[in-house]
Amino acid sequence: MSTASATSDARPDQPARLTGRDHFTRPGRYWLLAAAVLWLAGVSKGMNVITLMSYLMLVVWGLNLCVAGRRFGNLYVRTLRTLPAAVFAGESFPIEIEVANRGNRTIEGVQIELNGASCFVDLQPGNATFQASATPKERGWYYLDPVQVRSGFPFGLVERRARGADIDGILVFPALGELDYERLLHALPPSAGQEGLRPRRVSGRDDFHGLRDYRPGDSLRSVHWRSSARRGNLLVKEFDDRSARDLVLVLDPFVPGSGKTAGELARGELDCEQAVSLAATLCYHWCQHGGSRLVLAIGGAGGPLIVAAEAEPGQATLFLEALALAPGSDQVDIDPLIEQLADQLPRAPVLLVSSRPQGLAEELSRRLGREVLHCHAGDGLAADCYRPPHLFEEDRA
Amino acid sequence: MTAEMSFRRSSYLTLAIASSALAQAESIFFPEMALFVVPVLMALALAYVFDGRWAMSNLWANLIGLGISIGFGVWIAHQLVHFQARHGIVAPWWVMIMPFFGPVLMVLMLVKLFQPKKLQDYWMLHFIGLMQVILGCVLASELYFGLLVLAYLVSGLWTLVLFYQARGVDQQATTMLVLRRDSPARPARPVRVLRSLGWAACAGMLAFLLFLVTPHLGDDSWDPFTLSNHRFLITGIGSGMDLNRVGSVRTSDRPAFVVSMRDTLGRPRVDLGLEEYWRASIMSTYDRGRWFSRTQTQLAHELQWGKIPLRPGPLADLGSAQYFATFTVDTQKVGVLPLADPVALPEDPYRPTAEVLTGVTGPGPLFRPLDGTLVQSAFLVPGEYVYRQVTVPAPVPGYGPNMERATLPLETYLQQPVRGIETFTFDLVRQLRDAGKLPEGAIAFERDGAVMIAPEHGLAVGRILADHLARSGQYSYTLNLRRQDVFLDPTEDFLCNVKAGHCGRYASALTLMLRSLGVPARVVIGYHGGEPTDEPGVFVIKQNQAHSWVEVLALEHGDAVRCRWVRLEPTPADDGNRNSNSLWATIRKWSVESWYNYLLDYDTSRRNELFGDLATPMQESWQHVQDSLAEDPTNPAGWLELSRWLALPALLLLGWFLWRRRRGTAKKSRRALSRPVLACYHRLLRVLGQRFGIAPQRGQTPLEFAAAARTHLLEAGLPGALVELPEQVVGLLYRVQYDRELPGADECAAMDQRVAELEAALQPEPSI
Repeated sequence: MSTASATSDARPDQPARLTGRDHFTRPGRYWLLAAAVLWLAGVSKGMNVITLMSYLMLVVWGLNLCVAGRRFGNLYVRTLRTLPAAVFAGESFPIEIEVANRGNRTIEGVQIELNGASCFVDLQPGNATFQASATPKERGWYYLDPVQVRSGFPFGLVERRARGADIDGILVFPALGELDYERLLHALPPSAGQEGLRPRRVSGRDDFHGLRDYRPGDSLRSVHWRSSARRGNLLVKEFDDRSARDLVLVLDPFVPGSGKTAGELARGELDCEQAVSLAATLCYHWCQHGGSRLVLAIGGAGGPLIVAAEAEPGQATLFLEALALAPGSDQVDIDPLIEQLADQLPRAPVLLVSSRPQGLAEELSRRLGREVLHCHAGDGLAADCYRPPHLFEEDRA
Repeated sequence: MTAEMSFRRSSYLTLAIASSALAQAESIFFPEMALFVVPVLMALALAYVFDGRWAMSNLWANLIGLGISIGFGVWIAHQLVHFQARHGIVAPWWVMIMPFFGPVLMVLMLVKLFQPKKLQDYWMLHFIGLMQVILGCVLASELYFGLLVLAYLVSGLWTLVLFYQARGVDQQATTMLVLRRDSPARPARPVRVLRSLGWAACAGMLAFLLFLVTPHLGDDSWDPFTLSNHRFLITGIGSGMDLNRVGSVRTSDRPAFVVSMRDTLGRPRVDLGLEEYWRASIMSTYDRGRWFSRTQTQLAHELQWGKIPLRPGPLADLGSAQYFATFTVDTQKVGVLPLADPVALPEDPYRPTAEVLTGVTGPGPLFRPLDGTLVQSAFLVPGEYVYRQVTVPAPVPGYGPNMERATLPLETYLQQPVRGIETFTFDLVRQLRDAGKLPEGAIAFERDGAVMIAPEHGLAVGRILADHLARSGQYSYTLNLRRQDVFLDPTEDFLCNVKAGHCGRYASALTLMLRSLGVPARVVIGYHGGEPTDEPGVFVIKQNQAHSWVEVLALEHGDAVRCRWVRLEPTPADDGNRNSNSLWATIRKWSVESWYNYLLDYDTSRRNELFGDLATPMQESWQHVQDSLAEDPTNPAGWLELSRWLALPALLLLGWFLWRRRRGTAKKSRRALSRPVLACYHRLLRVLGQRFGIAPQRGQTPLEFAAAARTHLLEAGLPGALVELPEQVVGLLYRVQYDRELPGADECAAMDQRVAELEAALQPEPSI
């Protein structure tokens, strides 16, 4: 028997009233069967005590039917909006529900269930608040089951069950790994027009960053003479180059198609998720540090998706939402991706994150005319600057 | 105490009550069950103490279960051989083994109790407990069982509630929703036994009412003694007498039959009835506690060979002293057709002394003479019979008609198969002789310990023995039959050990004692007494007036040729009701009668009596109203009577109307009182909307909106009191909507005033 949902006669900002339906529990069904058998035996054989016993069982069941959830009409339930700003896969977040008993008598023996957690209470008049937590395992839309309220008080032979209103879906972002931002900057390839792989330059236009040994080609104007004299060798001042922090991030969410074994398919999907997670980690950290421009290009069967924005902390959601919903595919077409990317390609290093070992790095490099750093999801980033989330470590194990 | 602990305690209590109830019910078959249940209850107590601390491994539990099963199988096979003979039950084997399930269920319960168990396993345990009670319901006949079932009902419902609560708590134990401390909800409290008492009372009354109104398929009630649903009333008349039965004898105050006594001129005889004996069956053959009459096949044989006339003539003329008794008997209630004692024997076989007036009979007359009395000679079709008997008063009370001794099958009336009774009787006679209570020459000879009574002293010795049983003080009357040594013959057990019983035991004992001494005797089953009705000369004889007595064959004045049957009364007076005026005795009597009348023996006729009694006064009253108004519509008495009829529905209607009105008024008043709060809230929304352009979003609760509004007010630089205002207004709204707490008018007005202050504070300053 299905449960009934909350009625929608209340205003949207008010809790929804519960209207339950009766549900025959398994013990209750056996109870009724036993009563019926006893009744038949009692009446047919003239065993009056047996007949009376069958009526007793029947009446007890009927009493349960009348009493169970009798005051559900006084119950109102709603889910409180206490969600955090961002929910990441593998991380738990709290949920709160409020159950209001608007009657003037206690409703006994009520089981309240939410997302697999339950509580067995007597609901006194007033608003009761319950807390639970949820841990989504995967990125994408996450839907919580509505609040279930049921009561079989007093005997548990019949239950009245009611269901709260549906809860809006929650967009779960990909799980984030740990990233050493500074190391990554050193590992990135040079962008077009830049002198080398170094993200920091010894020019005086930008913020002072630190000192390093002199290299041939460095301007003598950048030598820090006092420190050089103290150390006995030439040291030059190093400055941050903001334009060097711009990044073009290309995600290749490839998953193997048909013709693979189940193990290979599972492995492919895991690689794809790791790739998405790595891309999300990069986007998140790029936005957290700010002051640069980030272009995220996601390949896919339905066409590429390109998100380009200033890398500011407030913009992280934009990239994470795109990554949360990026589908894996076995048909990632490179041509439209390159065409669209070429139109808005900034002067920045290009990083390809792919779930396949031999990806599109060479072709991408050739057609974009840039050096492309290829990064396979399973191998992580170069220079040990990235550590995948624990979620995948468990999956791989 | 937690719900689970309470549940476990109530579970063990319920199982103990179930086992006790079953042991009580089984005691009529196995008196040793009283001893068996004691270790069972002790084991239950042990299991309760060790619950959760120690449990048998499944392997050991299964091995013990297997051993017990084999043991019980052997025990059942051994017992079943003797069971039928011991209890005189003629039933299919699958019915006969039912009593054996009792001990099996008890031991099975114990094995399950000591096994490792989870909460859900208690379903199985209580299923076994319920099976015990159901088996008890099949086997039980005593009120004590009913009391135990009542206790089981209360305890069982208590356990059921606690089980529900324990399961709820158990389910939340794995993943628990956390309840905030300040929330008006609490962990479920274990229900107390007093509440389950209320539920049990409610359920019991409803179930009993349903039971009373349920149509029954017939007048056959379940008889646990025979494990069949063929009616056998110990205080009524059946086709035999079984002394193997133990337990309380049912008493029934239902009418058995009605008899009208008139003399030759048709005048009612009001002097008869009260001390009258009504004979129904003659019991001549004894076998292992059961008495049998001479078989119907013998009668059919005599009918076939012409010894019984097929077409009898009119009733015999017995002279001026004769009188007529007209009986109205429902054979579904009585089983055999009684006759007034003494029965006059017709000299002419074609002129009977009893004839049927209405009723279906087979070929030949309804009654025929046999061994000095009249017996029913035809197989009866269930239904009502009306028949007439002509008789004359006995020369001496208790004396039967004179007859020839040679016509009697004396070997039948001397059959005595119980050696133990012989020995007991010989010893008793010697004691009486030594005490000088026997007449001179009563003992004809004495050899090897055996004693024979001279035929001419048979009646005298019979009277002395009857007097010994009835008035020596060694024996007492009771309807609570029990056995002491089940391996003895029941009559021997009664005489030597139990020494208490009902009339059947006494009659059986005296008959066998007399036969041991060589005196022909027999048991007569019938009724004793009667109650006059409003109609003169008409008496009603009830089921609880069923009786049995002894007839001894006495020589007529020492003549060895002529003889007559003389009635002996060995049953002591029923002194069990000495304290019948006490409250306890009255309650006990009422309870026992109700137990039998409204439960065990409740059938269609009782149902018709019960509801007929209720309906008749109402029908009569309504008829009276109709008649009064039909005769004279202006008669105020008729209208007054009619108003009485209409008063109850009118009162009910009025009550319903007032209840609805009060409920509606309360709703309206609550709505009216909450209106100012809602108005205040909407005014706040309007003010905030006008000043900041904010409004509650879809899915945003008032409290969340209030928190958002607070931020705007803070940014606007308002004082703290006004910043808190939205949350205060929403708090008031929640109190009205959720808590149904109605604020006072002053509180509403004050809140409205503060919203007005906020509105004023948010007004843009006029430009200069």
